[in-house]
Amino acid sequence: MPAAHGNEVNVTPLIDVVMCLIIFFMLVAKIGVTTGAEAMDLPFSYLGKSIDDMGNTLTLNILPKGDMERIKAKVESERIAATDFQVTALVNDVKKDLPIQVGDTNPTHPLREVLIQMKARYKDQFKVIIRADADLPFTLVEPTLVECANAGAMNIFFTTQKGEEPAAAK
Amino acid sequence: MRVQGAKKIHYDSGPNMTPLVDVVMVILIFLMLAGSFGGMEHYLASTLPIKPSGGAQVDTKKTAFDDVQLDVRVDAPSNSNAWTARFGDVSTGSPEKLKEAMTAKFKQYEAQGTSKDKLQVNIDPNKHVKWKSLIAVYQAAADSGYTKIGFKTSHGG
Repeated sequence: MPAAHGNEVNVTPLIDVVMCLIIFFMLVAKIGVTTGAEAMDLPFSYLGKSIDDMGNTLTLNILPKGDMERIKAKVESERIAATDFQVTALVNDVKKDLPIQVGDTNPTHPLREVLIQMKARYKDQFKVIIRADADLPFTLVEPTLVECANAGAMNIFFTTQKGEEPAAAK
Repeated sequence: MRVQGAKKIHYDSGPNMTPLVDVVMVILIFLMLAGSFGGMEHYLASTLPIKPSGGAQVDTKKTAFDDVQLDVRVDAPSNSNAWTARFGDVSTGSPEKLKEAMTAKFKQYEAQGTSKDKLQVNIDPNKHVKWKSLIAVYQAAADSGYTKIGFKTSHGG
């Protein structure tokens, strides 16, 4: 004869769900490991690929500095060009400013040191992810690109947003 | 007369599917959420070093000297979202037209038997060109079939 249950609460499903939630949060925490990426307006592209292995990477954020409302103004007559920028990155789990100037010839500035250290550590596996604000003029992105080249970083990725740029922003 | 009890008695008549359903639902939700985390951004890959067009100090060791060099000059006025790219005889501010011109050139080289590994596109922007415009040019080149795309620096404005 089949076993009969009494009126006790069956906690098995509860335990299952709780266990799954624990595993879920563990995995999400793994997925959500920060790369140091900062919020910014990324350029749009329909091409692009994902990077499965985010190891051996350095994510460089290049952000404009100054009056962001005017730099980002939709009306051209109100808009001003960015003239200054900052580079930040997560280095050894610590967020760092890596100051560099346009035309910087200082051989020991922090960005160069970080790039050279990471290149020495990861060799040809070293990847640099460049997250630059869409409205930065090339003159403010160029110093970082040059430093990457000088450090011998051959695997460079430009971060973009999937999709097409909204018509109003063009 | 037999009175039904207030408690209903449950008889096992097979495996209890409730925990399985719970687990599957949670995994489903997890995958939906995890899938959306990585879905907003992607990457345009470049394996070329930056080339100097006026300045020095740049590593060009890995650039083969016998590659066909194809320059795309990009100009923009200061503080404008408009841009103009010049590729060969074509001058345009439209990514689609640039892609057409680059694709035609790519096919021309392909017909001559030149491998795409021997075709190097150098994007040569002036200092005012916005990054989003350069990404549009970069994308047009990549979409035309070119795999070696890099930037030139220091041509001023």
